[in-house]
Amino acid sequence: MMTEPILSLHKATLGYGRRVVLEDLDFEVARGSFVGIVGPNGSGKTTLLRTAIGLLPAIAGRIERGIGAGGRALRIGYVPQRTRLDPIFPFRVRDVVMMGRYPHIGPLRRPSTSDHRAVEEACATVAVVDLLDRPFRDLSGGQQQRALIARAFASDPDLLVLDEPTNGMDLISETGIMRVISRLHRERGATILLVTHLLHLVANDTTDLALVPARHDGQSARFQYAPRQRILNEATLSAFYGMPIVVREFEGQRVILPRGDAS
Amino acid sequence: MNDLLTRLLETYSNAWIAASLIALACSLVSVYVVLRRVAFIGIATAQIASAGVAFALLINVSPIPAAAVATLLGIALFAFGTEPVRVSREALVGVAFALASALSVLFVFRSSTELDHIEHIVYGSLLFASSSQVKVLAIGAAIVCGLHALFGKEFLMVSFDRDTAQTLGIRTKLIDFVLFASIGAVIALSIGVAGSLLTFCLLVVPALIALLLAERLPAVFALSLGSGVGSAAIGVLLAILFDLPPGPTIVVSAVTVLAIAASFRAGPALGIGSLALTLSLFGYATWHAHAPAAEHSHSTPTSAADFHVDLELVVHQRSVQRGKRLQVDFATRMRGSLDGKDARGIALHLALELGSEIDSAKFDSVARAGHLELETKDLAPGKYTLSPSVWTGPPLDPTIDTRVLTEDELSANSVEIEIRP
Repeated sequence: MMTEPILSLHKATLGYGRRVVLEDLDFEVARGSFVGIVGPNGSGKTTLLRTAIGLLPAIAGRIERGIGAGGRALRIGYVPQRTRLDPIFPFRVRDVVMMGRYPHIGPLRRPSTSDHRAVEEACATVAVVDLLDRPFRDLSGGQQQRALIARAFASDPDLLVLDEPTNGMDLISETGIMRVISRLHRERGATILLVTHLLHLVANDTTDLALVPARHDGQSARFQYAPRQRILNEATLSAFYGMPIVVREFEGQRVILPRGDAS
Repeated sequence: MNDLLTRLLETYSNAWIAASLIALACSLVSVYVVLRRVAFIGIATAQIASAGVAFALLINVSPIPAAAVATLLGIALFAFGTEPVRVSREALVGVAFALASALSVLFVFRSSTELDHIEHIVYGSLLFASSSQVKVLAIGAAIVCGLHALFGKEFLMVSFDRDTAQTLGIRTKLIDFVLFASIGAVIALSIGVAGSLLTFCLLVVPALIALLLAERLPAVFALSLGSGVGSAAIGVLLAILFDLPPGPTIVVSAVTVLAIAASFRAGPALGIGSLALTLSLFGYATWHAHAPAAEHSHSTPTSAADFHVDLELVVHQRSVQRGKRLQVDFATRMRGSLDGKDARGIALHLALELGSEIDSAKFDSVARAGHLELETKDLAPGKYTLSPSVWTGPPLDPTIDTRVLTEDELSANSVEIEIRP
């Protein structure tokens, strides 16, 4: 019944005030898709993300958000970069995840038993249930990221949006976070937008990819949005990055490498 | 001792209540001031409010509304001013602070009671808080506490993670506005009664104490309120006992508590050291206040004539149109000791009578200047003599009785006034 896209941009120009970052964007995000938004540092990835979820108005063009489950307004589960959160706040993990329930609780009210249950379920989904009463600021980067995903998931979102969720993480934490996100997509049918500058994170489990070019080299690269297979090939990526890139299969996983000097 | 304490509580009941209400409201918002890292903006806003109070004294209007208007301007400047080009916003806040400080001095400098006014602005007049001020403080504190009880979780979430709050449908701009309006209201209320120094302190220190000691938010709020109100109570007690202005004594009490709290993290030496320093400070104040009097009573037996108050009245217009207020400045100096009590520890009342109109002031310092106003609208035109009377008490010390000073103890000028039709 809900076949219309969850998010669509029509001739959208994005930026801050008069400073244009991305121009003339046209694409639709289908329900149930897992979209990787990739591009080099300093490209407009975060601008695109912030505009898509309504934190930033578009300079021109139209942005449409679909309706949410049960006909209510679309609910977005946003996972910000954890380094933007000030560790001075003495929240427990439980307190942070409970914030995701605020739309359900409403103003002037206190959390109910069902809110507490939803918090515990969300934490169980991302395996931080044993950390519920720990201070949020004392957790490792990976644990904090899981708690923030739990918070987004606790709001019962129609669209899950993550901004550089693995920044500054070691290989084990990074893999763990990516498995959690992929599982939410695969098993819970979550629609996901994930922003990262790391191509290999979105090479395998995504359904669609958006390539966001760096702002200053307009000559070769342009914004592209397409199913993953159409983006993840050597020709497209080499043209986009302006350097030779190799895509290989290794033990069932796609890997992406810059071509070595020798070859 | 119990008797003394009861009388202290009764005599200065307004001071205790006003100090507690101010401490309560300031400690509550201090948690947000510290968590959001806007201590400097808070202090600069308080200084702007202070300039508002100085302006109120200059044009002779009530300080709390003037402070409220100035605070509003300050917050508008800091909250909605655009991001400056080339320099940091913080530097501009510093400029605003310096300018507001300069204006507070300039507004009252030409006043005949300049020093008294500056003292009022910086140290406040907590000990002499009026019942109507206490009423305004109580209503203001109740509104602020109510807002925070209702919107606490939204205030916290918007402070912690604005973007996510917005995506969850919380109206972040409105919530921020209500939060900062409540902080501004607390600053305006506090500045008019407690002065800038105490307001600066209570906007930051209680939350620091709480954040050093507590790991969870309910405990942070409880400790902040507890340490703020506790420091205020201790500070007012010290101010009364040692004849010191209460603003600075509360600040010293609060910072001592902060040092003790910090010693839980930084080792006990800090807490013990600062406590020893504070105790020796007040020990010195006690010795300083009582030593000369003790010496004196040894050399000559205490007598009433030993005590003397000089009072000078200054009237700027000898002839006042009926219906206008008569403005009277006064300056007093006390010396000697009364019934074995040094002048420093005596509270005096001054009353000025003009026909049936009376205005009075209370002072408890060796030297004091002040300002009184008398209504003239109910007086028949004609000549009047403005005559002062001074009496002791209600006393700090139950061994001194309340009585009018004798002619031997008081030298004062009387002033002839004419009321014109």
